[in-house]
Amino acid sequence: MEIGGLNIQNVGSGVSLATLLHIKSGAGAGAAHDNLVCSKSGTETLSIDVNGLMTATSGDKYQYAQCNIGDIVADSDAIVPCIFYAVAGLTLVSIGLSVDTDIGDDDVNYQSIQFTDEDDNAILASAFTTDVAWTAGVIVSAGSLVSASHEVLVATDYVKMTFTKTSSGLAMSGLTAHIAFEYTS
Amino acid sequence: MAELDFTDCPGNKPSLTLVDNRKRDLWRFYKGATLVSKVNYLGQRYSTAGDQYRYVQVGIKDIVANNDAFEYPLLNFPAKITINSIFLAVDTTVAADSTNYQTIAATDDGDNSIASITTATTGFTEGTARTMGDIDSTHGILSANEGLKLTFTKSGTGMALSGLNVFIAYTINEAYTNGHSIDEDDPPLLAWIDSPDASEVILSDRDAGEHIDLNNGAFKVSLDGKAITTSVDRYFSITSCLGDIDVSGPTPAKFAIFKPSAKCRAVGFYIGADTTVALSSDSNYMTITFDKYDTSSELEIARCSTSGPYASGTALTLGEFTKIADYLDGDMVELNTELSSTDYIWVTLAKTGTGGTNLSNLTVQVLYEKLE
Repeated sequence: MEIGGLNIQNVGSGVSLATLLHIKSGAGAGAAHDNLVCSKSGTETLSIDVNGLMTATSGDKYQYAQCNIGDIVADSDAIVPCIFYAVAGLTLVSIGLSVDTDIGDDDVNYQSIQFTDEDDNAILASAFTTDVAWTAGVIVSAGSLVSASHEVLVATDYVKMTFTKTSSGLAMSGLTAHIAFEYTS
Repeated sequence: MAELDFTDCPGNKPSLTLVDNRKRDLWRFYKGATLVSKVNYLGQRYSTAGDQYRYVQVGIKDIVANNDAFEYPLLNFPAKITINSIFLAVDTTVAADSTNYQTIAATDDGDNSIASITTATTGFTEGTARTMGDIDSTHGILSANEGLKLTFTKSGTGMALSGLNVFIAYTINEAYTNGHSIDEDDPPLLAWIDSPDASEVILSDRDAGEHIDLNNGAFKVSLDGKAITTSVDRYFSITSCLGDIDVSGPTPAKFAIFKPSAKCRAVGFYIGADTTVALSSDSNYMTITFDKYDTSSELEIARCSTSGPYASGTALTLGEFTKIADYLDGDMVELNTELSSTDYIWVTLAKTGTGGTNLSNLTVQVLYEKLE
């Protein structure tokens, strides 16, 4: 069985460069229609919206960014690295952290790491604390993102990182933030 | 209802098949009179929405006051690209200084300025991204495999910057051949809709087979909504600055370079540094290994070495990425290139002899494709 749907192949080859399928309708205000919707058994899996944005439910939707913060001294409360800058609307999906050298579990001296938007709204539901045994090269989740608007960035929004030491804090070697996000506009 | 409705399209052929051998776009969608989406004959997708942008970020860390000798590799993409914006940020506020300051420039391989700023009249506020200003309309377009780097020129005694991060947004240019250019000819499918309602233009809803096939697989949409292309669109990159590697000390254990959230394939590895490292020994060198870590074992994908050996080592030029492995060239362990959502790419270092020359701001770039 090879029926399929619309199949246009080199019609008029060498003769015409005409548009074979020209859809033109209405003179409305450009309602928020999708240009293309692909669904699997009634569930949408890919679309291209009225502005050309393609969204999908497959792994296509993930975009990745990484920021190397570097070596963090035990008392790093004063520094505020900027780790991400958006040029269009997007939603942060996850944030991971890694170091390049093992760190032992220390429940007395540690860091609390938070990510914030440019207005200092918290992006992590709870600050990530480093009072865990941390293996070099292993990315650990920074935790759940807030279910508010702060992980939703518009163009020119940026993400900052803050450190708050407990007791004498904790030094970290080669700290790196790993970000996954989706385009939203 | 949809203008074209392929609900429960019979058979196993795609809902929509377009093949055209005249090197024109396959489809274009307009919003009013504005082109918002298209797919060209190579399967390359164009969008005016936010998904047109690719992001690369490089944390190049602390900059000393006299930083003139260093050049930092940022990006090297295997297709023609346009740099859209470059922003910089530091982790500690520094005031402007009209006597002792830095001129920071993003340049191409020919040292042509793409954008530049100084800290003479404007400093940095910690945690706040600062634009490098307008992108040069000529040099902001980089050829395939042309590098982008960051350079510093001090005035007076210069200015130290703490925790410098670079944020780059770029778009992939259309790869036309045979003299064709954008909008030269109308496509086979043209939708120009001031939609009177919210219905979609094209709807494909099915439970088997593919949705779309343009130019015999140049662009396809699978049943599960995966957009597959054979064009340069399929490449993505990530850059990771691993910092200074002092061969006299213990090499750090492992660097996590990349961890996808869905299945990907590594297709290219590059290394660079902010100073030149020549091949200088057959017995003292540093081996850099790119491994896949599948949460239980380390599986080598590719390796290279700096400082030596003469016959097989990789010489580094400051500010430039050197490709050390390419999937298509067969110099990766193919079996290990595929990454699931729980896999990592690790970089590990191992000294032979003294380890050779120190590596200043060792930086790696991973090129990958999404597989699902």
